[in-house]
Amino acid sequence: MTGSTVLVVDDEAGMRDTLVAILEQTGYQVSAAHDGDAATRAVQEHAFDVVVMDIRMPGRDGVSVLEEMGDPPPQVILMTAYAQEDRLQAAARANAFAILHKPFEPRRMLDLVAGASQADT
Amino acid sequence: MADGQGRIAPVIVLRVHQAAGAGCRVVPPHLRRSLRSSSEHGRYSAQPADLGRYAIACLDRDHWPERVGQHDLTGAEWLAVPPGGNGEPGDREGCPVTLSWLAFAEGRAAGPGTVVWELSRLAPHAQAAASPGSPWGNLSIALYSSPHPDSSALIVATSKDLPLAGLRYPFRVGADTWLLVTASPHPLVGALAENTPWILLAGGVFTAVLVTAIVETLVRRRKDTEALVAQRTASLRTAMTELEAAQAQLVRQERLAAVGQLASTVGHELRNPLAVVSNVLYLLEASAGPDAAESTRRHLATAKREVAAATVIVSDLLDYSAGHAPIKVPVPVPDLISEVLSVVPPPAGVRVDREDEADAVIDADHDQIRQALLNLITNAYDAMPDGGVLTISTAPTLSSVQITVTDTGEGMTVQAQEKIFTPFYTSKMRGIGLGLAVTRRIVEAHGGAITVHSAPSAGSSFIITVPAAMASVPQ
Repeated sequence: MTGSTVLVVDDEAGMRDTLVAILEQTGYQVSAAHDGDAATRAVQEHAFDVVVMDIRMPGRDGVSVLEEMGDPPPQVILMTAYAQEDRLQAAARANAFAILHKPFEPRRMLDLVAGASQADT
Repeated sequence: MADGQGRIAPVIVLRVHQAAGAGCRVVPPHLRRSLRSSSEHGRYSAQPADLGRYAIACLDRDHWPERVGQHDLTGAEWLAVPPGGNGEPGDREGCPVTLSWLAFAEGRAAGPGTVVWELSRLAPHAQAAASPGSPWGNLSIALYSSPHPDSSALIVATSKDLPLAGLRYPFRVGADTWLLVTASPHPLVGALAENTPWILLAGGVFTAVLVTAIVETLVRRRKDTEALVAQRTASLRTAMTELEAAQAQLVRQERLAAVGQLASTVGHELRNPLAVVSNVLYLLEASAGPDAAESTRRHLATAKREVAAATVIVSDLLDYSAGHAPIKVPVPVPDLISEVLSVVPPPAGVRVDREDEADAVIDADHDQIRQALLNLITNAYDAMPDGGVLTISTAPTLSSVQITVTDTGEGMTVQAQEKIFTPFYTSKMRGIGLGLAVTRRIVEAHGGAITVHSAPSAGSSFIITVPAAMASVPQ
């Protein structure tokens, strides 16, 4: 919960920065990555409790990053702007803690992060 | 010489040369009587009953050719020459001298043993009898040798050998040589000639009937043709109407497909900015804190409400264009309604009454059903611009959950209710008319149904029925 570590991964700077601000304001220790490769490196270097990550990003997508998470993997909340269920979402649904459809209420995101950090502990 | 119809064939008798006192005799008995009563020598006026049936011509040298030739005989006049001997008619029966009319012509000797007979020498009506088209079709010429015409008759020509003009027949011209020209009525042609008025009348009637029938047939055919043309025209118009409707439908579908594709692209591109704006508003509200100025809180609420409205529109566009199958999980309905109300809080003047059943859980795609409820609730807000009461109730049944969204707004006419589920139909100043179309499609994709009850100035109730999750089905 509060004090937990969270990694925010999104290639859109506005989205990334505002999510970091909201999570920090709530009391989480937040790091950020701007693409899949950076996220992979960050996860390998630090053990995060929760990862909030966009599915579609340039380079490696969120699902492939999720599949290479360390052991034990952190709880991952994936975000998508696509309403239609596709291959990525199907894979994400199988492995992720939750999927958030953009735009979402920040309060709901915070509820999910809180739930994920509790599940992690 | 009576024909099969009892009529007497006409006979033209020419006497080339006859000894004085020779003559012909009347054959039919009743004409003998008429002749006996005739007061005028050599001439007999026919009685009306005789007209056209008999005539007698038996000429002696004194009467022929001058007297006869000068005498214009008609069918109404008869000429008879009594015998020059004892004056008793009938003693030379068989003389073929009965006529319905008479004509005389001259035969003259062209040389020894030859008589030249010319048609032009016949009297005009005899010529007419020998002409083509005459009812007296069978003309024949016979040469008789004296003393008795019957004793040495020689038929030298018949009608098929005519014309008579210019015929040359070798025979001995002697004191008692007779030239007999007879004309028999053609049975058919004669009957036609006699019945000409009736035939003409019947022909006229027949022609009139035929013409009438033809005209009627033509008129009927024209009417039939016109009816057929009208029928074909109507069929063509119907086909044109159907074609235009099909084309309009096709254009509409293409338009919807194009709109769907555009909506999908635009929707995706708008989702990220909307999410960022939503985050920023959250941060601003948090930084303003509970002691923020009233105007700040009001402005923030307005911005959040507008972001929520834009979110609904974008979601409708994406849902309409995507139309994917629901991924069902158990969804508690009270929590879902709370979530929706947090996304789209009621505007000022609208009170929300909830009548929840805590154990109402549906088997549904969370995001899709949330979108459906978002649409119904925002529609209810829009229907109450001057405020009112929004009532949201849930009612679990044996196998489903009924969610009713009722407003106290302006309501709808029946005509409007028939259109509200049509894509791109809207009665609102704002919006694209996809909300209820998407809502219905989502509900039906879940195996549920949506109905509406409304009346002008009496508010509206939308009822959606969604299958219940198995765990929530009462045992």
